[in-house]
Amino acid sequence: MSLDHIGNHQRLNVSFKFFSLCAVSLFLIYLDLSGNITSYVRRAIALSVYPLYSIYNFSIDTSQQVSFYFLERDDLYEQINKIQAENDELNIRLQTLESFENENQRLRDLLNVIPREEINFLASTVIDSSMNPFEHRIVIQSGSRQGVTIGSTVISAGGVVGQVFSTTDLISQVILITDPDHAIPIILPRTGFRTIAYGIGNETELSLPFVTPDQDIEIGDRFVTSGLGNTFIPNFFVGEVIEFSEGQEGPFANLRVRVGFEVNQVNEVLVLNKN
Amino acid sequence: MRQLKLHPFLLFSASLLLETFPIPRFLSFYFPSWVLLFFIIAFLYSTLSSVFLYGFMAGLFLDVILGTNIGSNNLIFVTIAFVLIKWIRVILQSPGIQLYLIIFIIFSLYEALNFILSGFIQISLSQINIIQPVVNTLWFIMISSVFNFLRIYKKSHE
Repeated sequence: MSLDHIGNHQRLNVSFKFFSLCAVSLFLIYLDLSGNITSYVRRAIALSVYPLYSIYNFSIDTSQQVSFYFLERDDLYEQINKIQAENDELNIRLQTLESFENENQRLRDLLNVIPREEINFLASTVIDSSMNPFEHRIVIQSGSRQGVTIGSTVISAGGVVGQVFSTTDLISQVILITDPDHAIPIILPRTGFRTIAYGIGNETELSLPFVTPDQDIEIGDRFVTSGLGNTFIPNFFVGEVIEFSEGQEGPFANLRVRVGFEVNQVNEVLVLNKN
Repeated sequence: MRQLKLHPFLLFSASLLLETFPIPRFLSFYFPSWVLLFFIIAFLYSTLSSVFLYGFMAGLFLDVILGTNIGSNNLIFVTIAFVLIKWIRVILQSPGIQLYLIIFIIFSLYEALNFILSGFIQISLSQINIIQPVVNTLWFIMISSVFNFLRIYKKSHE
């Protein structure tokens, strides 16, 4: 590769290759930004990358199985008891919720309210994450073959995680609600106050920049999705107020909301689709 | 320097595999951009001939894995390939510290191009990851030392 023997012709060739590939790259950026033409390219390449994710999952599964194999019997009994206790508690809560749901349905029928859309739940595993100040994204092991569509709401045990922004046959990319380019319409059920929460590139917090200090908001209040814009399914937990005070500058309050999930601990998610 | 026969395709696959492995947040600062690191190593230590093609493909795969705009990493890798080809004589003839300084400049160039293409208007200067070129260079020193050791070991047994 030494340039000692490279003549003018070859140097021109190198420059020609460089400029032509730069032009192709810029054209690809333009195509990707302007439309869906490159989605086919992305899907095709994502399929070829899929074996890498499979190898990763295999290694994780194997390590989990090995660590499970070496667990002590007492630890296992302890885990089983804990899970059973949790299960009992959840069953009791579920019965209460079912009675509320039936009552709610009866009232809706009486008032002739348009029936709510049914929601499909799809469990999926997180196989990759890209976390830096510019973007907060994860990759899940479910794609269009499993019914994931662009815009599907993604939740975890800690509440809304984000929404699907690109999908291939087998995997999908999810933009998190903490991503600096993301905004989510939310509501405070206690007062009915609606606003929009923006991601700021912070893994744990959201920004609510246009809230005035005279709003009835208390520390510990829990915001949920409002469903406005018809992207997010309503009434899923988004975050909890951890600070509400008068802003230092301008007419708006200083409001900090902590999201309910921790990115590093989110391994399984549910993808919600309207039926 | 370029006597070890490492298959570029294997290095490329290994780097993609490493890139897809999620790592804890506190460790992410200490991990390099594997694809770029292995791309440079493949260029310097193996028989990588189609530098532009490999750079272009590496960028394409990286865009898909990272979810960035298709074409952005292609542009960065093609530029890095161009710099590598232009500087190859200087790189190969540079001793120790000077070589690593050049490598550091290449990694800094990578971060700078990444910053520009990420839309620097939205990002404050404080968010630029200035530690990454240093981390990448340190990893390069470690990995290239291993390759150098293997080269010397191979020579001594011939």
